[in-house]
Amino acid sequence: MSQTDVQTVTLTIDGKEVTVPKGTTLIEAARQGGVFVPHYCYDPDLSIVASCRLCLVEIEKVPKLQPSCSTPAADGQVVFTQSEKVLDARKMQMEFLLVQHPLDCPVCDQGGECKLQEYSRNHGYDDTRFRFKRRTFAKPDIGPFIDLERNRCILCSRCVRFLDEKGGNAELAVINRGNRSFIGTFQEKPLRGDFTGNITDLCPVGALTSKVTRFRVRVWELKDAPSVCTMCSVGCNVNLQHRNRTHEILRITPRLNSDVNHRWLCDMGRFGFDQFNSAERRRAPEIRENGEWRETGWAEAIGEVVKRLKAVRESHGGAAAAGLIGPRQSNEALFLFQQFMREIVGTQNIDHRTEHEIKANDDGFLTSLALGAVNRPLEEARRADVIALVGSDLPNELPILRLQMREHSRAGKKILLAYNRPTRMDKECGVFRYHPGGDAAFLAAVLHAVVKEKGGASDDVNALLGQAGRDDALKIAQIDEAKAAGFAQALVAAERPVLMLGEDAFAGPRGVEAVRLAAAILDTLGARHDGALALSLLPTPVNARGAADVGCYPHRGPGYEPVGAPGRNTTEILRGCIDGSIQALVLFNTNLLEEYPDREFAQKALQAVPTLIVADAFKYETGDMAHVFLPLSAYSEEDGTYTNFGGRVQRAQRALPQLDGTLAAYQLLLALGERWGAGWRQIRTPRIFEFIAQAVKQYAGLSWDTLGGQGVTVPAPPDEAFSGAAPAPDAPLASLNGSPGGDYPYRLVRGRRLFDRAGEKRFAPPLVDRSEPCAAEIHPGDAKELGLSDGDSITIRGEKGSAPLTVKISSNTRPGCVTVLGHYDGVPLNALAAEETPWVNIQR
Amino acid sequence: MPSMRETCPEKVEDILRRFPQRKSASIPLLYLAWEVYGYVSPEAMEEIAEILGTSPADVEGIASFYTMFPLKPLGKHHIEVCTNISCHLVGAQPLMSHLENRLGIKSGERTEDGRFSLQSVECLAACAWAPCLHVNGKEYQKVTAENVDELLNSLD
Ligand code: SF4
Ligand code: SF4
Ligand code: FES
Ligand code: FES
Repeated sequence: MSQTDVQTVTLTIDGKEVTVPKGTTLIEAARQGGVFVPHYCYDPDLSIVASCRLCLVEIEKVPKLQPSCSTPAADGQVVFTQSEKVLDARKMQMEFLLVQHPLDCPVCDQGGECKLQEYSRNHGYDDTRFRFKRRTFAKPDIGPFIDLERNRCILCSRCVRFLDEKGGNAELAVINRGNRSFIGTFQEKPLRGDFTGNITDLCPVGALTSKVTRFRVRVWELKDAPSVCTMCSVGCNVNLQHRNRTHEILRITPRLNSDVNHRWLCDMGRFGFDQFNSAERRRAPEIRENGEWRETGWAEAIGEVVKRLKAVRESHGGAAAAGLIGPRQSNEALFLFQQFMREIVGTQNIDHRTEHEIKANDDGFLTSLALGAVNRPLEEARRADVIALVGSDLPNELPILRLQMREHSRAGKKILLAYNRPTRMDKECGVFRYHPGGDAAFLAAVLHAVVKEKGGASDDVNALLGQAGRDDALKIAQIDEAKAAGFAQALVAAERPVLMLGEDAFAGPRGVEAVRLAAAILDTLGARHDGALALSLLPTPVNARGAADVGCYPHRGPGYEPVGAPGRNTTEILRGCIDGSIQALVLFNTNLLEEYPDREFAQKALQAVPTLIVADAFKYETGDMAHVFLPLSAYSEEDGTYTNFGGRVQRAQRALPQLDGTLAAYQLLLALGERWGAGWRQIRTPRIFEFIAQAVKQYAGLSWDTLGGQGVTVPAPPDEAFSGAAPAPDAPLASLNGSPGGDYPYRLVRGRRLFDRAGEKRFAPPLVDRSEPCAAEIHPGDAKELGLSDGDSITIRGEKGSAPLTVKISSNTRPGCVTVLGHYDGVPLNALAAEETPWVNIQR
Repeated sequence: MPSMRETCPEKVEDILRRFPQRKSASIPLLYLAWEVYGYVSPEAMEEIAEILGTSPADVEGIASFYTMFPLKPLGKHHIEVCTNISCHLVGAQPLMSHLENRLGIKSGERTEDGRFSLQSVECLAACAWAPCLHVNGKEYQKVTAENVDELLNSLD
C-alpha cells in the first residue's frame, strides 16, 4: 500500500463514492460529497459531543444508526443519510427536541434563520403531540449584549463549548440535570467575555440572540453589505446588516475569512454599530462667526474653506497651512487628503500621528520598515513556534489576535508576554512583568541576555548594547536578570521565533529605540525569513497602516517616497499654530484635544490658529473650537478600502446611502479640489483606488475588483524608500525613564480598556452599558499609606492640571503608580502632565 | 469565611494528589466543601474553580448535576425522603405531604428557624423497608405519614 492509500479512505454515501482523508467524520465526508446531514450539536470549529442525535445515519452492516458527527469515515463503508430508518429517526428526534419548545416564533428574533424552524419543516412534523404543561425556566439578565431565553434552548452545548474552547473562560455551563437542565452563568452573573457575541451565531435556535438587535428588526428585512470592522486594525471581515427603510445598521455578523478573523468577531466590533445610527451625528455644515454657530449648506461651507485656505496661501504661502487626519479614514480619503494638502494647498505639513508627541519623523513604525520588519502579525503567529509579545495589552487592543493567540497556545505554541501589568491572557502565556515605561529597557535587558546566550553579536548590535547598559536596563525595567534570561532562552531555543511590539513599546516616546532593540534581538537570533525580519508591530487604529502607505507624513509621500523638503509633523504643526507660523489647520477625523498627549499645548494651538477647519462625523470638543465644521458620513455609507496591520488591503462596501447633509471624506476632498479650480471632479472609490495603485508602489497592479471579497496582502515597501534615511538619534538608556519628583511622587500610567468611552464608542449605548467605570487604580500599600479605600473620591494632580477620579485598590498596579485604564470623556488625563513626565500626586 | 486551603490544606492537597487529571478532583472537592461549610456555597465553588483552573460555572454545572450536593444551607436536621418507585407505592407521597405541612416548607427548603430542611431524593437502596428516609445520613425505615411525628419529636 502506498503512503497516499494510508492517508485516505473511500466510501459510498447515498450511492456516491467519496474519498476523504483518514479521520474525517462522516458528516464532513458527506458534506464533501455534496450531501448535507442536518445537525445541531456539531460545529466544525468545536469539539464533538454527539448529543443531539439529529445527525444519525445508517451504515451498512451496522445494526444501529450512528451519529455522523462523531463516526469516522472508513474504507468501504456504505452510508445512507436518506433511508427510511434515518428519516424516521430524524423525525422522532425533532419531535423530542420540540417537546418542551415554546414555539414562540412570532416573538423570537431567530425566526427566519432558525435551524429548529428549518429542520422542522424539512425533517419533522408540523404539529406537536405533547399535551402536557411545558417546563419553563426563569429568564436571567446576562448583560447588555446577549439575551438568553432558556425555554427555547435545545441543550446542544455549542455555546458552552465555544466559551470553553475558543473565546472565553467557560463562563457558561449546563446547570442541573436531565429534564431540569438549563444553560447558565455562574450564579446568574452577567457574561463578561470579549467574544460572547459569537455564541449568538453558534446557537442554532433562538435561545441566544443579540440583545442589541432584539426586537428592532426581523431578519428577512436585513440586507448584507460585505465590509470590514473599523474598530481596530485587525480588520475583521463583517457583514453590515442594514435596513434601508429606516436608514439603520442593525446587526454586524462575521464574514468568513480564515486569513483574518475566520468566523469570529469581538464584542466591541460586533455591538458598536449604533454609533452609525446615532442622533448625535451632525447633518449640516456649520460656520462659526463672532462666537456663534450657524448651520449652512455645503456650497457655502466648501466655499468658505477654500476662501480661507486660499487667503492663507496668498498671504503667507502654502507652508502656513497644515493638515492632520486620523488614521481611521479609508485609504481613499487618506490619499486624497495628502494629495489635496500637497498638490493644491501646497504644503508638506501633513501627519496622521495624533496620539503621541512626535520626536523623530522616522518613528518606531517607519524604523521597523527601514530595518526590514515583516509586519504581518497574523501570518507570523501562525508560522511561529514561539511568539513573544512586548508592550501590548493584547486583549484590550486587538481582540481577535488575542483569540488567535489562545488557539496558538492551545496548539502547543509558546507565548511570551511582557507587559507592565496583568492582562486577561496571562493564563495562556509565559508572563514577564516590567515597570511602566520600561518597554525599551526590557528589550535592552533581553538583548543583553540573547547576546550572552549566542556568545556574541554583530558590530551594530554591540554598538547598540554599548548605549544601553545591562544594569541600567534591569534597573529601569525593574526585572531581575534571570527573568530577562528566561525570555531570551525561550527565543534562542525557538525554531521560528517571532517578536511583536505593542504601541506602548513602539509608538511611545522611546519607540524608535524599542524597535531598534527588538530588531537587534532578532538579528542576533538570525530570525529572518526571505530577507524579512520576524518583527511585527501592532498598531491599533483601523487604518494606521493605510495612512502610512498612502503618505500621510510630513516627510514621506505615497509609498514612503521621501519628499524634497520635509514639512512639519503633528507636534511641529501645533507649535507653529502657537507661534503664528501656521495660519490654517485642517483636521479630518481627529479629536485632537482628547487624543494629543498634551492637552494644554493642543488647546493653545487650536485657540491660536486663525483658521481651524474640522471635519468629523461627530462634533467633539475639538469641533467646537473650529471656524468651519464639516459633517462626514459614516464609513458604512461609503465604499472604501482599509489596510490592516498586516498590510492586507480590504474592501468595505457601503451599506446605506449617506445620511442627509453629510459627505464622505473623499467626496468632500474632491469637492474642495473642484471648488479650488484645481481640475478635480467627483469620482468613485474604485477610480480613486486606481490612483492609489499608481502612486503607492506596493499597491501596483491592485484594483477594487482584484481586491475581491477577501482582500490582498501587499509587500513591505522596498528598501530604497529608506536608503539615506537618517538614523534616529540614539537616546542613552538612562534617560528612558525620568523619575517622580517631590511634589509629584506618583507615576501616572495609562492603560487600555476594550470597553471604555473612547472616541465614537461613547455613541454606541450597548458599549457604554458594558463599559466599566473609570477609576484610579492604586497599589494596596500606597492606599494604606494615603489612608484611601475603594470608592473614595480623589483628585489626581500633575504639573499642568488635575482630574477627579474614584479609587480602586489593586495590586495589578505597582507601588508608586496610579493606573487609569481606558479613555473617558470628562476625565482629561492628557491635561495633567506631559507625556514624558507623567508625574502626579493624589489628593483627597 | 476562611477558605478550604486555609482550614484544611492537607485535605485539599491529598485530593489533588489522587487525581492526575485535575478536573477529576471536582467531586471530592465538592464533598470537602460540603464538609467544611455545611453546604456547597458559591464561594466554595469559586474556590474549587481556582484550585482546579476551571471556571466557577463549570463547577456549578457539576455540583448541580448531582442531586446530593446541597447548594443552599441545610437545616440542623436534614431530612431526605425517598420518593422513588418502591417507596412511592407504599406511601412516600402522603409522607412527603405530611412533612411539608408539618414543617411548613417544600422539598428543597429549610425552616425559618434553621432546624429542618427537606429534600425528596431518589432510591436510597432500602426498598425492602419502604418508605424510607434519611436524617443527616442516618436511615429510618418504614416511616409513614402516621408514624413520622414520633421521629420528628425525638429530634431536638
Ligand atoms: S443556548 Fe443555544 S447554543 Fe447554547 S445549548 Fe442552548 S441551543 Fe445550544
Ligand atoms: S478584533 Fe478588531 S477588527 Fe475584529 S471585530 Fe474586534 S474591533 Fe473589529
Ligand atoms: S450533530 Fe451529531 S449528534 Fe448532534
Ligand atoms: S425506592 Fe425508596 S428506597 Fe428504593
